[in-house]
Amino acid sequence: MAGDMMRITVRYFAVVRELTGRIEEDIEMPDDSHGAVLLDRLAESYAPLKEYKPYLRLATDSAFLSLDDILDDGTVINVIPPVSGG
Amino acid sequence: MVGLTEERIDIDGISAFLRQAEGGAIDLFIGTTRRFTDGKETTHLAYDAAPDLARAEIHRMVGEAQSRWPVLRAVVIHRLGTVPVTEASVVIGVATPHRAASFEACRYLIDTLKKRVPIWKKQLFADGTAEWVQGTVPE
Repeated sequence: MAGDMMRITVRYFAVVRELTGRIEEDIEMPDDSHGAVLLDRLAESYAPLKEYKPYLRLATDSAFLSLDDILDDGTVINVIPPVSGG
Repeated sequence: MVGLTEERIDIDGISAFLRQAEGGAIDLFIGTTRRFTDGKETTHLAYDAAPDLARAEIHRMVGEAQSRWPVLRAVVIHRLGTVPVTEASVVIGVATPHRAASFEACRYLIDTLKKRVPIWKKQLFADGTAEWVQGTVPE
């Protein structure tokens, strides 16, 4: 039904965890929202994230997502800043 | 052998695991905490990760290496949390029948890990300051 909302759990890491002051949170969004909508929402909610937005990727616990991918209700989405392992 | 650990990495155990009767070459890469970066003294590094995704990406890149080179055994272990100067943050090992493939596959694994695996490094300096290392946007 149009207009329904979904809930996703968003997890933050490294610099994004420091900028948001959170480890994770649940966010309600309209059904069928795609990844870009989530990033827009995060940049609105957390001003310091704005400058990072072009460099953030989204991922499930098993794979990276495209910003065009539709997010599924009830899933965990990881917000991935530029990686620096090794 | 793939994993993330908060303990000191057992390099001798990894070396033993890589010794294979069919193998003729082992390439072992050990990334360690360096004391000076651009003239600034580091006391230790601190690593964060998205653990499930990191393990999935490491498994994927090992699979890619196995499809390109005759890999008999591969190891990718990354340490998380605090890593003092001189200690290993990452160990990558590859066993193959001949040396060229072991060099190439090992290089592929560490280069790919740095580009794609969701792990983050924070430098903690002797002057009390700290900063996340500027990273790479995963492709």
